[in-house]
Amino acid sequence: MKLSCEWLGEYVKSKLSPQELAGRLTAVGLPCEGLEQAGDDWVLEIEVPSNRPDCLGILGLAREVATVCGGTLEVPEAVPEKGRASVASMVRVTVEDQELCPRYVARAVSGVKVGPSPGWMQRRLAAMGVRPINNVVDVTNYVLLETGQPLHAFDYDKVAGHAITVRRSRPKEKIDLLGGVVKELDGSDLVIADESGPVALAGIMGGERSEVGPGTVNVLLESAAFLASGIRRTGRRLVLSTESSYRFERSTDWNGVEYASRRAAALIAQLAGGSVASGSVDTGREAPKPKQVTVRYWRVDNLLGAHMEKHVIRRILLDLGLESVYESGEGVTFLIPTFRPDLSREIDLVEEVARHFGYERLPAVTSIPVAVPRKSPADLAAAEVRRRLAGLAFCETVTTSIVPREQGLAIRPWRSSRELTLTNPPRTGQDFLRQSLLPSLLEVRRVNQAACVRDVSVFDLGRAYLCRPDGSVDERRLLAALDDHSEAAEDGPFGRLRLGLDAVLEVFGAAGELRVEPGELPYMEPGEGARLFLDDEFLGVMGRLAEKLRPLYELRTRPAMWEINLDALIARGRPLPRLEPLPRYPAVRRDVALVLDEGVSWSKVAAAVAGAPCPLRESVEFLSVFRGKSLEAGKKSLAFSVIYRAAERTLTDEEVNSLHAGLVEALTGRLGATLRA
Amino acid sequence: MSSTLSARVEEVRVQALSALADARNAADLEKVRIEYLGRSQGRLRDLLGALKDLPAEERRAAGAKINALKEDLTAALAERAGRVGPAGAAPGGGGGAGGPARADLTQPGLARPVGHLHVLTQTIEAVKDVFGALGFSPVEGPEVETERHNFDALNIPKDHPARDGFDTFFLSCGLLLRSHTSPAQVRVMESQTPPVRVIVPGRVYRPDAVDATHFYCFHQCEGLMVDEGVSFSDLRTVLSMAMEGLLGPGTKLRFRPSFFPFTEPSAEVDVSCIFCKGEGCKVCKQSGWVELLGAGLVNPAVFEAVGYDTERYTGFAFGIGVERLAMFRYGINDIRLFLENDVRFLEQF
Repeated sequence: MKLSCEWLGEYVKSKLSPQELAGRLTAVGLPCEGLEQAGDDWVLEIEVPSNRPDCLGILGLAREVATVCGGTLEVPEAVPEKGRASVASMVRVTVEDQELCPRYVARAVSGVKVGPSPGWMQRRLAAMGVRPINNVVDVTNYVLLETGQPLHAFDYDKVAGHAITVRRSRPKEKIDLLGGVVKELDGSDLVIADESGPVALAGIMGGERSEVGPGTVNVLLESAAFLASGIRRTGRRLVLSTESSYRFERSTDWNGVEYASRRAAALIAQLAGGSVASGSVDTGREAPKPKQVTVRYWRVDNLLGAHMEKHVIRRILLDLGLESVYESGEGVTFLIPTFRPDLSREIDLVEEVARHFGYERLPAVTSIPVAVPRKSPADLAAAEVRRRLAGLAFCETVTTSIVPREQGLAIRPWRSSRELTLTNPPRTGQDFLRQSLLPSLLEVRRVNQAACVRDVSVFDLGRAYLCRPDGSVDERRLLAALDDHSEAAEDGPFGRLRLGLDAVLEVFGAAGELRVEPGELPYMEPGEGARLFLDDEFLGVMGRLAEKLRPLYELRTRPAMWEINLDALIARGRPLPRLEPLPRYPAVRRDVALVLDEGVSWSKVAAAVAGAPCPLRESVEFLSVFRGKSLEAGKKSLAFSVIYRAAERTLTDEEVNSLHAGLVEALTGRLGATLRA
Repeated sequence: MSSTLSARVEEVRVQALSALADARNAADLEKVRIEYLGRSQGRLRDLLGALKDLPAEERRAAGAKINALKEDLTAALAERAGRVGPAGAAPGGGGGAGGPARADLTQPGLARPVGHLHVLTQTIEAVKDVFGALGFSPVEGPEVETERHNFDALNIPKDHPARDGFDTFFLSCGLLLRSHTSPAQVRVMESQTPPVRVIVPGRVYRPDAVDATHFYCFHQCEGLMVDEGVSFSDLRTVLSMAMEGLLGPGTKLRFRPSFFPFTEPSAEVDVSCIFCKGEGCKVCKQSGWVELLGAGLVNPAVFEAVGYDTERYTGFAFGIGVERLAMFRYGINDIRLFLENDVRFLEQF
């Protein structure tokens, strides 16, 4: 809403400079977003909050200014001189839907001479960004800007049958609006019609047929109240927004309807000549009963946290146009003017007091009782998981949950009874709420590929959006990691990922036994995918992206990745670690390299070591795997260390050598291996 | 066999270090040097000789171990030489003219990869820490929400202009993606009686046109405190302390009246620019202030929607734009960088 300082001066005298005014209005919640000089005038751009329809008229802003600077508000007189004819004899008004149009006031001015409006009015309109047209139309715009009440002037002689009907449109009914726009209506839009059809789209825009022009002699003036939600619906559907609809959507003042009608009729007669027909046609039935609201002094103090003097509270509210109807030592009961629909409860009055007293004058040092904050187990676990993975040189990503449909559908490790789809997606095709973090991580890989970043080790801890069989949404916390390097790592494509996975499981202590079960997954390359189980519960998947899916994610490489159900891990609980006594005697390490069939997995070897009867064996550690020409086809050499330790003495070389030899012999037998000499 | 060799390497290491520790002067040290590192009969030479018996693929690893031992011993010898006596007893092999070998403290290390937490995670953790110190517990809420939680219970009626500020993504099933974290307020109050003191960091969605300051998916952190006698001044106190904690001592706040359907009185809160200390600069667009929060007392209509006694309880709520806070703290100029995850961006924080 623009505000001309010169125009404002007509209603309130203040000594504030335009810059000071901008600051003071901002400080009472009417932020000034711009300040421009227009000739001798200054124009402020005020962002009026949606609960303050009264401030969409300069009079309303003037009331705020008067409260800010202690000035007096001068509301212009609006008493048109009465002509001989009566409006009632000139026009018939029928309102078919009282709810959509609770009040319609018609006035008429006969014998006008349409021409340009005077310079002062043209200047004021132009300063407010409204193009002057002619003295009649300009008056309606002028009064709209002054009072916030939209008006419409019809050429009386072009209103067929001199009968106005406010009704819902008929389905597929057409209307020719000002500026040559034709709109097709559905059955719900409210129109102003005469005997031959719609002449205006109620509260939004007038029609071309009854427009006031140079030849107009008699004017029919409409001032009405329309249901805000109805105007909003029609405006949205037809994509029409006007000064008028903007104000009706925010609701207008019941009493302002009549005042603005009188004000405009008087101004038209003053500027365009003619005589104002006596009286009016007013369809308004019962005026809404003015609300009464009591504000208790102690409540103001309690809510604001500071003592407010009674006279300060009273002065602010009276200046804003409220009327005191009852006062006691406890508080005041006010009559709320109808132009303030936002004031209906005590808290609304407390806000007015706070606003005009000044937020910045309220204390900012109070004492607040101490409280112990609690972090949820999920929060604590997530923080620890992040720390561990970052410690292993994975970078954390945060990715959007809305993914391109095809990409989201291609990787779905988790069951979901249906898909969640956006009806108004940010981009065509990007309408899928992800069911896995893997498509997101592949997109991260693509972004980095485009940025020529060759090596990427990332993880994401985020939500996937799954549906339970009963249809409810399960926003499941998942954890996924992706690893993609330009040079092959010593421990293979999954080495680093596995290290990360083990570190995560360690966060949950003895959560259970991880089982990696190689198998086919539709999105992983055959032979390079596996399901993960913790004890017998499905925990997630691991593998390398299937070659056939590479183009879908626009990748040149096939990254290795895993994804696990973090919620399932969190649900298992996270016991604090218990101290294990430190060993008192040193360990002895022996390395061994076995030549095995390709099909013998590490997990089989580890199980064989674990299963061999050898009491002093403490643990086994993977060292390396070797494939090459020096080996038979279909064979690999697997090297690992076995660590031996006795709890109560230092082991001797001889003892370990013999234990180790025994173990190696057992292993070669069980695994069909030979020793790599 | 490699296990034996590896064991032997360790054995030699222990013995050599022990001999070094026993050396009392330069002459002792020279003896140790000859015994272990000597070119013709040194024990390391023997170890190297044993390499040829190993299978080819293991030779490299074993060789590396022996070399590491050699480097360790050379270094230990030099270090010991510096302690036992005057110069002149420098071990052979390159030390010669320049005196005893010294560590080059100007030399950098070999780069090893390091992981990073996402800057949004770091920002949210900082928020949790600061508000934690003020007694606020972090909680979470769902992102897929109902109209009731996202709008109705927050006093944002259908077909009301107040909804204009909350453009929303709708799902085909009738649910929606929350357009702010405030619905979590409602959920907390539905499940808990006062006193309440929580923050709710989380993701929100709005179908904004994407540019340097708008993305359709971003993060907010909601805060809520409800008890008997909680006042607007308490809100001012908590936010002042928290912003000093997050942005540094001396950070100032400015409360401007505003309108939000779910708070009353409502405020937009600006913080003094940490870069120019309020003098005016590019970051704050010469104003000295940066808008960072929305806040206010909880509207009694919201208390009514969750069944709290509006006469007994009062409270305040606030919302922080997490990306905005991070952009301000770290000088990030484009909101799109956060969710793009270019590793070169991630590694800077």
